Amino acid sequence: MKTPGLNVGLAAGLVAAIVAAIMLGEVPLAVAQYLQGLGDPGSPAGQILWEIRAPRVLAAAVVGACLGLSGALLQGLLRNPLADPGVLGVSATAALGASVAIVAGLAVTPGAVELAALAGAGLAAGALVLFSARFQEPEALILFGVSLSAFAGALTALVFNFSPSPIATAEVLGWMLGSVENRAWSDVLWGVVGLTVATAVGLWSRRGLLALTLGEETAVTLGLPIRSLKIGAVLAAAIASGAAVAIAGVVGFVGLAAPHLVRAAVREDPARLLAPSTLAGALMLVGADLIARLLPTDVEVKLGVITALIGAPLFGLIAWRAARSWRT
Amino acid sequence: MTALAFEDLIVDLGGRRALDGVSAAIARGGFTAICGPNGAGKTTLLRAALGLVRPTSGQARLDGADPSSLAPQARASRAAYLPQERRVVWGVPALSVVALGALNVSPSEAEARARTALDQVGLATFADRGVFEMSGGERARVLLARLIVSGAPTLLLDEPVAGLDPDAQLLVLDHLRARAEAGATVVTTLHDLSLAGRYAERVLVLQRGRLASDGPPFEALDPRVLAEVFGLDGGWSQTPFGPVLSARRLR
Repeated sequence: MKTPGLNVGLAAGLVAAIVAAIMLGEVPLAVAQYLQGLGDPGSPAGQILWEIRAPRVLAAAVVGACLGLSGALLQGLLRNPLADPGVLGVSATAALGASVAIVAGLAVTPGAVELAALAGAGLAAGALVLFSARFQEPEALILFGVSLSAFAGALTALVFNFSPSPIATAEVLGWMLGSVENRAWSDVLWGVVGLTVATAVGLWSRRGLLALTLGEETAVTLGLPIRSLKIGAVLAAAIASGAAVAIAGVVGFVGLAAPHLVRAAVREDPARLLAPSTLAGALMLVGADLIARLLPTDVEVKLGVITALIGAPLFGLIAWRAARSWRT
Repeated sequence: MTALAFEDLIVDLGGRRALDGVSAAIARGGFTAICGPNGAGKTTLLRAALGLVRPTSGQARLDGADPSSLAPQARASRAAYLPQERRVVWGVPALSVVALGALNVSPSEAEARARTALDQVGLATFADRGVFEMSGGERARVLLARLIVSGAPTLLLDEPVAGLDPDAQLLVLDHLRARAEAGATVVTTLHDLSLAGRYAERVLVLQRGRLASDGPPFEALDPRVLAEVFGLDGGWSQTPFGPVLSARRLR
């Protein structure tokens, strides 16, 4: 399939999913209530549609888009189909920042946890950019990311260790399982800003992704500023995954699976993969959040749990099909 | 005017001296082969010519300039490089791979050039085929086509025929010689000394990082060099298809 057609199809599917997710919910509404709510945001139905469902659904879309973009950038940059935002440690350091903020009692201050998560992601991004400027091999960056992730994980465990109350511990744990419940328009705005910046930097650096398909040394001799393009890709991936974690906590598998869902349709071109992977990530997370909302459970199942429960078998299926194609 | 020049070039890699005082100048145009046993420094010499490794002392020059000081686009416009590593990470179509060689022109122009180059290496019908769906030989020709579309006057190749069947080897080298006859500077490492003797006008022989001999093939690869550098007892004979080296191991 040509990339424009694929992107239009995914965008249409995303719009349809967003509309469906806003219309569906725990509180059933009659047609008349929908009409009233759509026309009058101040009415009870309008508040459900515009103040509860719409920001939540759009937050899911933006977070999914960030994760899909980040996954595609990292898999292209690292030339590794197993790379995802968790690999570079950005998710873990963002989670550490948020955990510290929650345990320090800052959760009551609007935006404090999100800013702490962004600060954590920013620290990781800075370390990764410095490291990628010094070392060329993708394996070195992966190993550094794994080390960063493990260190941030250990510090987060330490935060749990010294947590002053079980309530704060439960709050941190809940946040780390990922959710877009009760997200506001301000969260959506934050996400859109992060996604826009990451997309701009990612689009600039995409020229290097296809060149890197031929290996680092060849890419360097093709006439592209590969070192700058690689730093741009790392930065874009870190911004996107940092924004996602700041809004929704840790949501796994979307960054890993979204690029795989559309890779064959773009003939494995890592540069052409960025847009459809972004859209596929958004579509996946809107769908996953809708499932979380509609499941008839007393306590809502966390978004990160849903994405892992659906994503893991799906990814297994993709891996199985890929392994079959490698054998032939 | 020289395309490549090395002046008392010393390169240390990982605590090992890869090049040890190499001095040579390669004029524009012509086909030069770099030969030598494994670990002699052939690849390092090509990489130094492109500024991919930093000299410990001495210098390498590409069109009279320090290659490491050139902007990426300026360097790419002077020389194109085919490394020995032929791995392609993703199974992208051949046309996309070849078009990467022409990043300095518009995408449509790059695609047109890529189709022409694929035709020149006998893969006109492979444009839309993914590189994972190709044999090693076909993939090697795709990568050669990527080199062709660059339009760079100097082509540096590291073992371009390694692992290819005889037909593909001759196709690749015939094409490179045609480029050299058209004015390009072709510099390639070759392990096959018969092919070096048959295609190259000049052979540089490296041994443990030093230039052991330099000249026309049958002088640079005379029996003394064959014995001292390669450990071979051998000599050249002429056949209707070109010179052939016959040799046996001395040690």
